[in-house]
This record gives sequence, structure tokens and C-alpha cells, in this order.
Amino acid sequence: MLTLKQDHSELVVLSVLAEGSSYGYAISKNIAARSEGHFKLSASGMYPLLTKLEKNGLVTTSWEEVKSANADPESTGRRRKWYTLSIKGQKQLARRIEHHRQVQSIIDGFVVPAMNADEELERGAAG
Amino acid sequence: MLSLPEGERLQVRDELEDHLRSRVDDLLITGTEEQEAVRIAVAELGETAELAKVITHAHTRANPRRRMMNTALIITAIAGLSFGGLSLNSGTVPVQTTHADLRATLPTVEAGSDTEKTVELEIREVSMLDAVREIAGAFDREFVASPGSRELVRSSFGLNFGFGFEGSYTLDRALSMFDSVSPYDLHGHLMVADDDSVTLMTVDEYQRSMVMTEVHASPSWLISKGDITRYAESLYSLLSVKHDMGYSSIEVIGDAIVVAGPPNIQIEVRKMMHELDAVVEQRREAERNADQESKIRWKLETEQQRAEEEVLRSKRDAEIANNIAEIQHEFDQARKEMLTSKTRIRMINAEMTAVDEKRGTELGDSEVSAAQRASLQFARDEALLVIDEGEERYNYLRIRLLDSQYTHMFKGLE
Repeated sequence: MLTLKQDHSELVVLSVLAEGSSYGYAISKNIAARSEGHFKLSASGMYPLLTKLEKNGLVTTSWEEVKSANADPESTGRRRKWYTLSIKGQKQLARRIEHHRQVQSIIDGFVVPAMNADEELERGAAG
Repeated sequence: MLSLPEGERLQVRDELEDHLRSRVDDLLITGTEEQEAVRIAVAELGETAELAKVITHAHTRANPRRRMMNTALIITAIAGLSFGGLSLNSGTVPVQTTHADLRATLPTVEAGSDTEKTVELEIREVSMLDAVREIAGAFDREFVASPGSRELVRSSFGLNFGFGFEGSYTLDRALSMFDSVSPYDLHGHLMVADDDSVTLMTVDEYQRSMVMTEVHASPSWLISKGDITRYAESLYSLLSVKHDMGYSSIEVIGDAIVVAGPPNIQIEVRKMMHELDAVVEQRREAERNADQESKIRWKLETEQQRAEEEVLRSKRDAEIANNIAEIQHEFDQARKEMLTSKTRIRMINAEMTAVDEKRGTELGDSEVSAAQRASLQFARDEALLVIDEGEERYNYLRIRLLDSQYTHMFKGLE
């Protein structure tokens, strides 16, 4: 299981929110599911990040009253905090994606030739 | 001392509660047993101390004391979650992750010789007060409630603990367990243990108990009262850049600087004052050296000057001596000439007398004697002139010399 590094997690969280507003637990579930369990953003990593995003104005938040599916109908609901990507957040996301692509292509410049060389060797060994 | 604002604290708590409940719901859907689901959800929430710590950091400016207190209140808030519809009264819920982290954040054992002693504990569903007393008693200590915590004890500790726990524990871990499984919010409080007791006190009381007072003499290089006051004020504001000065103060009393505060503040103040003194001393040393150098230079210059003056004076003296010698010589010459002339006149007079006497006795030689007498007369007139001149000169010189400041250096002026 790989752990998301700080700059990756911001990119990932903003991307998830770009698809629609969400709340803490759902975001972390989303990330775990889509990476097929390979990336897990723990609560201790995610919530502070969300707080930071909110503080920096990249997301806006709102509260919802929720009743648990298993709860006693008489009991009081709990409050859920929803996060929505702001305009500023969208811009930040775009910047981060661009940065990511640039880094990716630079690395590919090294990795692809190496990959090809590797394949050649394997083919040579097999044949 | 500031704490995370009430509103924000509750929000963080609510959000975490929502997360936990959602997780538990999901686990129940997959068929997990209630208790197990709760256990998993809590364990997954992970290092809750770390979590709370990091969240608080994002909210407030980093301050170890503040963080510690907020961590305590958030953790106990989490521990106090009520899971609607899920009962946690049956059986024990080992909340291992949580309490291990609590140990890292709540100072539970301050001093004590037997901090590693392990005791078998079995706490059943008793009141919180009885539970903590049992724990204290198991470690040969008494449970004490500080004045500030009596309200909490009175309102909450009488109520049923709700949980129990058993096993081998050190005092430290046992208190952590107590804190983590107690259903009531212990925020703003700490358990502090020493050799004789386990004391519940407010964080405020704890901070206060660490405060000590030190008196320092004001630095010798400060002069006026105003300077001392400004020095103290500067120390204070430098400290407050890094530290929370909520329990510290620096005052000037007379010529002394009095510092009240916890040990870390005292250490910092001592260090700063010492280093300031060192810097001033270095500067003084440099000044003294520079001063010394200039003194030596001045001395050399003065000596040089004196030597030059000495030479000049000798020269002048020599000149004066020279002049005096010349004048003395002139004076002596004038005197001698005068005397010589006077003698000559006397001689001429004598000759004239002789001629006159001879003329009186012999007849027929009157022309010769008249001629002789005429030339003698002529010689005498000349001699008289010379005397006049010489006398004039002699007198002139004499008077001038008598008037001058060098009178005493001449001979024969009488």
C-alpha cells in the first residue's frame, strides 16, 4: 500500500472535488476505491489537508443535518461537513495538473528509452 | 491562555464523529458485528492524537502547550462520542490505539520512583470516582482533586464509568486508559502523578504550578532607570515571539529585574542576559584596547614634542649666551677704552703742566713751548672727544644692560 505524498494528495483531493461536492469520509472512500486500494489517504492526512484548503479559500464548506441509516429514528441527527471546489480551487487544480504533466513528460523522457532498452534485452533473451 | 475556539473545536469533533459513524455504518452493511465495527472504525481513524494535533496546528499558530491541551480535549471528545443506536456497555472495548497516543500527549506521570511498576487491574462498571481511586490505590497513591477540578469531579465523577478494563498496567498507562474510556469530557484537565498521589487538576493550575520567580541584578552597564525598564521590556517582547507568555511576566523592581514564569522561560532569560553581558564586555574590552593604544600614541607624541622643545630651548639658550658674551665684550671694551682715554688725558695734562713750568723758568724758548703746548692741547681735545664718545657708549650700554632681564648675567655693571 502506497501512501500519498503531500503534494499528490492535494492534487488528488482537488480532482475528486472537481467531480462534485463531497464530505470527508466519502472523499477518502473515493480515493481508496479508485486507486483500487493502492492509495489510502488516512484521516490524519486528509482532514488537516481539507482544513488547509478551506483556510486558503480553495474550497468552500457547508453543514448538513444527517440521520444515520441505522440510527434510532428518534435520535438527533449528526452534522456533516460538505466541501465544494471554489473558483480559486479550480485554478489551483489546473495549475497542479499542468505541473504534473510537465513533470511526467520529463520523467518519461528518461523512462521510455530505458523501458524500450529493457524490452529489447528481454526479447533477446527469450529468442 | 488561548484555546481552540469552542465553535471550531465542536466542528472538528462533529466532522470526526460523522466520519466514524459513516465507517461503522459501512462495516455493518458488510455484516461486521457491532463491537467489531466500532473497534475497526476507531482503529482506522488511526493515530487520533496525531490527527488532533495536526488539525489543531492547521487552526492555530503552533504552540506546544496549546496543542497539548487541545489534543487532550479533542481526544477526550472523541472518546466521549455517543454512537447512536450502538451500545458499548456490554463487554470491554479495548481502545488500544487511542490510549497509546494519549500517553504521548498527556503528561500523566511527573515524578516517581516506580514509574515502571506494573499492576494487575480490573476495573468494572463503577463510578468514575471509584475507578480513579481504585487505580490510584493500586499504585499506593491517593486520588486528589485540585481546587480547580472539584467542579468537574462533583458534576461528572459520580456517574457510572460505563466501561471497564482489565490487564497489566503501569500507572501511566492505567491513567491513559481511564482517560480514553471515560464517557465524560475531561477537556482542560490533566492527571498528574507523584510519589504519593494522583491529582486531577486543570491545565491552568498545572501551568501555574510550574511558574517560578527569579531575581536578577540589572546589568552593570545600564545606567538610568529608563534604560533598565526598556531592557526588561525588550526581553519580554523577544521571548513572546517564540513563547506563550500567558504565565510569565518581567518586572523591574528597584534595580532588580524580576522574572516570573515556567522553567523554560527562566532558562531563556538567563541565557539572553548572559549573552548580552558578554557582548557588552567584548565591546568594552575593544574600547579599552583602543583606548590603551591611543594613550600610548599620545604619550609618544608628547615625548617627541618635548624633545623637540628641548632642542629649541637649548638653541635659544646658546644664542642668548652668545649674544650676552658679545655684549659683555663690547661693554668691557668700552670701559677699557674709557679708562685708557682718561689715563691719556691725565698724562697729557701732566705734560702740559711740565711744559708750562718749563716756560716759566727759561727765556727765549716761548715759541717752542707754545708749539708744544698747542699740540698737547690738540691731543687733549681729541682725547676728550674720544672719552666723551666712550663714556656715552659705556653709559648707554650700562643702562641698557641694567634694565634688561639678563642683568644678572653681566659682570662689572656697578
